[in-house]
Amino acid sequence: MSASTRDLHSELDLESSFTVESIESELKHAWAELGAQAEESNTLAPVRTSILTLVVVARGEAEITDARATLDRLVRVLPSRVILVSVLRDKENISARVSAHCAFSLSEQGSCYERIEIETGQTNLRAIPSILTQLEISDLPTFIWWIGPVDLRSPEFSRISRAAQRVIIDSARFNHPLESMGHYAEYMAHNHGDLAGTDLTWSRLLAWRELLAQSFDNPAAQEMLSSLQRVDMTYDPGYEADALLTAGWLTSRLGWEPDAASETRDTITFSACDQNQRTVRFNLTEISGAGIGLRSVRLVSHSGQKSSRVTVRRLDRQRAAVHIEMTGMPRQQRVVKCIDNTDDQVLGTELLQFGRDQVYEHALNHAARFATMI
Amino acid sequence: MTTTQPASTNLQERFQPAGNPLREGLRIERTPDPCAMVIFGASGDLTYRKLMPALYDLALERLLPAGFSVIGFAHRDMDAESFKAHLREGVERFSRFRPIDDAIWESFAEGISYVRGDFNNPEDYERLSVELTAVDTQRGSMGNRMYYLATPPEFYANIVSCLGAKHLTHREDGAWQRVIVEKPFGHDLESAQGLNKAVNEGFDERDVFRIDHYLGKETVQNILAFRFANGIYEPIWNRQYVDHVEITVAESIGIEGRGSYYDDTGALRDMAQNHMMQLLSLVAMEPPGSLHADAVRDEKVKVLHALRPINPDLVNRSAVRAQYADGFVSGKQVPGYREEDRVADGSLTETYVALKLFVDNWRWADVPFYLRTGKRLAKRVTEIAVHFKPVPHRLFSSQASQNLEPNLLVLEIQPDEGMALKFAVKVPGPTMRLRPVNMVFQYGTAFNTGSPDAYERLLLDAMLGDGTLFTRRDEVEAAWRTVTQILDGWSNLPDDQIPQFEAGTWGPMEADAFLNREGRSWRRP
Ligand SMILES: NC(=O)c1ccc[n+]([C@@H]2O[C@H](COP(=O)([O-])OP(=O)(O)OC[C@H]3O[C@@H](n4cnc5c(N)ncnc54)[C@H](OP(=O)(O)O)[C@@H]3O)[C@@H](O)[C@H]2O)c1
Repeated sequence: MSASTRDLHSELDLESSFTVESIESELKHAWAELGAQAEESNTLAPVRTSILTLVVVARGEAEITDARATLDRLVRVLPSRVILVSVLRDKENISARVSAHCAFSLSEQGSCYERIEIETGQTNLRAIPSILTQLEISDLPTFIWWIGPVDLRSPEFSRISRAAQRVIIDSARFNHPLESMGHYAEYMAHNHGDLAGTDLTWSRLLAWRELLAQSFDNPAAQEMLSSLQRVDMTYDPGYEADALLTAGWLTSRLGWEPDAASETRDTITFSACDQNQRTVRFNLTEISGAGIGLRSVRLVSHSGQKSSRVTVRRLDRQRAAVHIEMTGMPRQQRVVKCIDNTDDQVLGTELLQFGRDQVYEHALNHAARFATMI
Repeated sequence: MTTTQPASTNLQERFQPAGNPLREGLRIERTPDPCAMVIFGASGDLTYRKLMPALYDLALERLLPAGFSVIGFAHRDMDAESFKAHLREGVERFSRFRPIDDAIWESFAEGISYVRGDFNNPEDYERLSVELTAVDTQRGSMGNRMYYLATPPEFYANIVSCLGAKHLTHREDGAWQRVIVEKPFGHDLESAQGLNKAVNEGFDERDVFRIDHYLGKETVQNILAFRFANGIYEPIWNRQYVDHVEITVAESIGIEGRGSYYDDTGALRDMAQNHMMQLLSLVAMEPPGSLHADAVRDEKVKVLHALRPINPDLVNRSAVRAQYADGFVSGKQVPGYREEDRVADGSLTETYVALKLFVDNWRWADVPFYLRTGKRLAKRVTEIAVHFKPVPHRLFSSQASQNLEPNLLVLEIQPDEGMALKFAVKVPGPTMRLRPVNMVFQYGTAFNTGSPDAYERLLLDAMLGDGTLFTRRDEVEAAWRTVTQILDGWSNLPDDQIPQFEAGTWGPMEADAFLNREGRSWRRP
């Protein structure tokens, strides 16, 4: 947003008299206040447009600060009702603070959103779903984003998540991301597809999926997919979930079945079987690197006289290089954008998708099956 | 060569999503096939300001195929390096993503080369042919070619025939050869037919992509979404409920130094024949059976074919033209049209035009469509206003409803995209008093994300072979047919006067009178 941005902000505190009705009525005041501010400062009247309700659950000060910063950026592009549920260890009651915000710039219409911050202690968490159900905007989708690690098998997680149509976690923030994938897959299977779930780690891999898919758009290259023999990946320490999800995506898309896994000090090796019972090997190797994430994916195939090798390699936080070598084709090499998106950007992409992401669900299932084999 | 054909089996095959299992769930169904794009007129303004920035932006967004190449063809003497440096400067100024990324530009620029040549010299196409072969071998473009005619239209015929003579327009090996042409596409029906014939000498109609950059705008595509993704408008979108439709494309700028071009062209040819006719057909068309390019264009062209012919002898009943005189726009004094550079003394070229058109079909019989466009109007705005009929029976006393106006739905296209519905409510109080209020939706407040430039969308679609957002031969000719009737009428008028209006206003009094006669008036957007 340009330097001419002006923020309007109106905030009301409800500590003393908390009811859902009072939240709604305070919100009306907040909007009226915003309208008055806009008139005074000669900006366009704020328009109360919403496309969704986003519930964010943050536990402890660090997560709460993180959530606020992410939301401040996100809502500039996606007007919504945001309900931030802050869970504080020592808090005994439930309190709420309501605010409405608009950001204007000269070239744009104002983007406005309303934020309800509910603070609660662990013991009162049980009451939260009943409040959320009343506060969600009717007829528009409700998303819930668990910003930090959460026990995906706890009743608390499933009770609160049930208030939404789409659940978003970020397995990169989990202490045991591989294990959490298994739990998340179980959780979704348990919900029989009534609830859509996703993972920001998956969203961050979008550029990788696009670059790999793009390399096989050409029909000649597509042929080589059925004769893949080996997939080599490298990743920075702490990013094995990224590599595993990518492997899960490839195997599920190509119709291969996870078969076996083994692990050495820095390499996880999987094998999968294609429809013809051919074995395809996956080598996932941790390298000491700059903490960027997934660093390279190479797909190698041979079929009779033909062979191909497609490599996508992350150069830095902004770019990747794609190399394609294929029998009968000139060698192709190019540098493309591959940006480390911030949380608000990946979250923003996820919030535009309303239904289930079956490609993700299949990838997660396969990744979870690999994870249990290690 | 053929004119328009219904979607052939061959065409359908070309649109089958590629069977790439990794594509499922991703943004687009496929990237275009590897190809080389030859830009004729590559040293010109369009390439510098629009095409290259759009191509770089597409490359940056990872939407171009590996091995994508650009071959510039133009008059001036340049080597590939200075050509690239010139293009880079344009990208630095006009890309959506600035500053430009050096590594990505370098990688993209590896595929750029330049062939110096004269459009009219067949020998120079030999060098182009050699370069194309080299690009196929070195970059894997597999014989797929996109020719972009960024040239004045008088060169089209020669370029196409020279390409044909070097066997550059057709191949037997399944590779595609397409051509993109720019506006202005002709200056009347006859010249447009001539251009179509020349272009179709070399390329099948399905390989011809005529650009109307309005169709590449997100906002214009939204008209399709608004009309056909919502069930509630369709039942009232017809003569029973609609009183009239107003389409406004107003600019506050003048002719911006393009005097010699504009003075030969005028508002009717420059805006009405293409952009406004496109808006009209999108608003008035029947729902297509699918979003397939020809399904959409078949419905659009039916609207243009249904336009009631204008009798040139009675042109003043259907059209008003005018010119801006000096005045003030946004508080600044501006010169009148005839005082602009490179405009002929006493020029009669219209800078403003208002039209009344009828779509003679079941849905729209006798509903007037009023179109107006002009330069140096009060403000920049593009919108479509659908005026509904008044209520059939006045239930409220005349005092209660004295301010009452019929419902109005406005689709706002520029500068802010959105829509507004005007309806009546009761003013709070002890008596029944009514007044109209507006319910407004603005896209920017719901989706505050940037949209691709029209050229990005159009270049990508052309590479994918999707012609939905391009004008087909029959559409262009149908639009010219109506416009030519007006031009003929004007040329027969004895007077050597054209109404003048003050710059910065909403146009001439004659245009107001044009609507007032029918008990209507123009909106003040
Ligand atoms: N500019 C825009 O934004 C815009 C927008 C919409 C439509 N258009 C249309 O697009 C077309 C191109 O516009 P433009 O603004 O780019 O025009 P321009 O700046 O005048 O460029 C014309 C180009 O054609 C080349 N050229 C002219 N005669 C030639 C010949 N005999 N042989 C070889 N090259 C020749 C010129 O090469 P040299 O300069 O090297 O001689 C130059 O590259 C026009 O039809 C225009 O109406 C332009």
